[in-house]
Amino acid sequence: MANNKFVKPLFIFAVLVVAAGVYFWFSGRSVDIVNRQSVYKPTHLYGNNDVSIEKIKLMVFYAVPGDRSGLIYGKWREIMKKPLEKISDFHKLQFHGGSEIDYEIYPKPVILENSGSFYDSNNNGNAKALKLVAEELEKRAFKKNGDLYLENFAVSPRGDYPVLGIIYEGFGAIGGVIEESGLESEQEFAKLKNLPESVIFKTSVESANGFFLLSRGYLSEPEFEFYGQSFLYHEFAHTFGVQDYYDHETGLAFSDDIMGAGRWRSLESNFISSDILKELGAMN
Amino acid sequence: MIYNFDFFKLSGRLRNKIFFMTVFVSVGPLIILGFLAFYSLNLFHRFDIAGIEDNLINQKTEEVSGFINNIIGVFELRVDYELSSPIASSSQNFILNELLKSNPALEEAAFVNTISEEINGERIAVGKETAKYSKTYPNGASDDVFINKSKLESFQQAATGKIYSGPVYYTLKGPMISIASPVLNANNAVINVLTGEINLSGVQKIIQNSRLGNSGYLYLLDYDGFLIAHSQASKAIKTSFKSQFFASDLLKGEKKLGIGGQARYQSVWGEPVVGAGDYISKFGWAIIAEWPANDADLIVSTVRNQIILFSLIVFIAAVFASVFLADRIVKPIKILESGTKRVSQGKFDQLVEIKTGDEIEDLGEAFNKMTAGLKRLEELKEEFVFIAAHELRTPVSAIKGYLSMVLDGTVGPVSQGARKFIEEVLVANQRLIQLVNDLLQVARSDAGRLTIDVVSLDIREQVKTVVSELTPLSNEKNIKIIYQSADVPGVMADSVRLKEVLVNLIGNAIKYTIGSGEIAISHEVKAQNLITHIKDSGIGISTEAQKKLFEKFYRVQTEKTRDITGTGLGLFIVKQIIEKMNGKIWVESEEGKGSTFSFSLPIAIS
Repeated sequence: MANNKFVKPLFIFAVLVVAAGVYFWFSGRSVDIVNRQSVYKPTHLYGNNDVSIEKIKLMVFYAVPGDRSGLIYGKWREIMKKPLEKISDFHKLQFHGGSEIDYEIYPKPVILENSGSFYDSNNNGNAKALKLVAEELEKRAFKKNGDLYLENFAVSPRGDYPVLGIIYEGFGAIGGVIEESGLESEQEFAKLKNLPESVIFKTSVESANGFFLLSRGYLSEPEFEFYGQSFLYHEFAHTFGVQDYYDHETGLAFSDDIMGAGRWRSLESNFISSDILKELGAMN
Repeated sequence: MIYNFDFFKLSGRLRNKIFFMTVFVSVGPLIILGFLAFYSLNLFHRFDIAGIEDNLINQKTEEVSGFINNIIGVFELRVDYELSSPIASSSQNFILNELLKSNPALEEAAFVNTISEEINGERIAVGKETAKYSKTYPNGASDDVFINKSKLESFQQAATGKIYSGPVYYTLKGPMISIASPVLNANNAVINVLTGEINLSGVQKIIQNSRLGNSGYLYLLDYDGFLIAHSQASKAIKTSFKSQFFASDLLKGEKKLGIGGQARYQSVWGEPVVGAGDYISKFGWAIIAEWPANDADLIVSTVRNQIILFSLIVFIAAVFASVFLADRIVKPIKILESGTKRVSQGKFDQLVEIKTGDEIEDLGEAFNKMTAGLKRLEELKEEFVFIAAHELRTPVSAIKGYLSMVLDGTVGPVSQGARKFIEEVLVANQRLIQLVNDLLQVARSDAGRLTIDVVSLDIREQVKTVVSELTPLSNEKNIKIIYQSADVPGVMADSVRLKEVLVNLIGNAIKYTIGSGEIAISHEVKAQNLITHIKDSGIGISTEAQKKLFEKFYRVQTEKTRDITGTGLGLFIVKQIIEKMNGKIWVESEEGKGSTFSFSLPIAIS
């Protein structure tokens, strides 16, 4: 049996060896500092934190006035599909992944009930056509008894932000937000929102939170080849509350991005300014 | 020499000392040196990592800044004339065309009007583009796509004479920035603004061409913490780094360079890294180098593991070596110790065998010589004792004879006084005779001449005979002898020697019982032996005295035993006799409470 007087030095020696071993082992290891995790803030309607736009369900129709059915563009689906893909990519890039577009094209052109003159106007990007066509689509495509109703198309997943997109066989480039209100008149609503009355319209559309209308020509005509897709996104951006960043009277742009001067630039070279993205919750 | 390789049996102090000393001397310095080496390596390694990362960051910062500054540099236009009129339209187109051709990173360049006066009958709005070339319009854009930039910050800043570079914006072509530069005349007046959109793909390439160890990487963040470029495309993520503590500090303008700026933390990709970074103040960007710790510290880990492994090997080798060494030293000492014990017991025949080829072997040889000398001395002593006892026997017997005849009146009447003296002499002479007889017996025993004739006998007869002989003596002292003579088997013993043993033991029991008392004699069969117990109620024997009781000439010296006579050889002789009859003898005693002497003899096989 080992002599007792060696137990203490042996113990001290063993402790030193173990301590040295522990130091050797751990001194080469990293000091891990766990990063502060960012508080997740979902993207939202422009200036409104309560409405999420993380997932946007974009339902697109090719709408043709009744008297223009002979003018239906043969490759209507192709001219819509590529730009929609492009704006989806563009949107995801600008929002740094914080918002995505899930688009769907209605399977056939919609022949509107009335002639073009019923829908057309020359002012304000043809807001009249937007309102009338949207309301007609609401009745025909989004109500179960409608002749254009398709359940898979009409019903948006819960939590998505539904947007109605109209590619119109006629003139128009306009978009906006649909907001439920108990107010009776456009005037009252404009006053509440501090907006010009000319941009406020009453509508009965319930199936979407935003809608836009764009002339088909922007997607098909050579003259719009370079910036047609930019116009498409520009109008689409209005559906989640982004305003124009240019003066409607003088045309002077306040920003160089797609909501201002940039709308005249190709989509590949376009962007959304950081000021707008901040209002949408896409940036801290 | 025979080794007993009990490697893990660390018995004995010298063995322990050798073991601990060897282990301590071999492993201790190794651990200390390893500790110091590792500490130094660790420290210098951190400096090395900092240096490598800093060099990479500085190099890439220079390249990135140079990339952009080079383009901005070509935008700094100055004309020789003093007139405050814009550059001619044709020249504008030429300049823009050349700019785009010579700068592939330039996506678009445009001249913007800054003069509000009418030029050649034409008034162009301030802020309106007057010429534009781009990848979209490689041959120049038509004026219907010219836009008015008067409200844009880029134009407004450049129009005041300051160069403008804007924040990074992300397009489908890649990250870009806007720049704007004043075009100055000879009087440093702004006559135009030249705007441009720079594609940062070149910056991405600069960052992608970065190498940091096997798995380290570099990345560039914009003002808002979004990733402009990453040297490993697979690590490109869309979320902002602004909440990551390291990046957020850099984007606030801090520098994280050198050993003081370097940090170890968990990256946003979830691995421990060594990070360093710098702030590119001109653009508000952060450039960060991160080196996964397990790659960065590979050399340190390798050295650490080697030190630990080597220390372990040395420790194990030291353990085995120390045990072997201790065994080599301690074993001969143990042999000498055993030899010494044998010599102390009077056994001089067995020599020690030590073949170590060193001083310990010399010691063994000296020990054997000493043993031989002691053996010779013992033999001489025994011979002397035998001769002396033998020679003494005749005269003491003669003294006894003649004194008896005197007392008998053979040489005439003896007076009372003379009788008394003669009787005293007779008693003393009798003790002398007893001593001589005992010495002779001891001498015979030592010389191996003590004859034992073992036969099968009934011990009860021997006991009864001795009890009968000693009863008068016990009666004198009022001591009762009780013998429980139950049926017992026969034993193998020499009847004469057995009687001697019984006389001695029972006689001692009587002698050492002071006053009245009782002596109980009984038998017990145990294994193949018959044990005889002789229990007295005498003065008892101390524990110390019991250890030496059966040694030659030993007598218990106490107040109570002072008047009790004896040679001190009785029990020695009894032990010799019992052991020669293949038995054992022992005592159980307590001072003041009596003693029980017991001896065993083998049972006779019938």
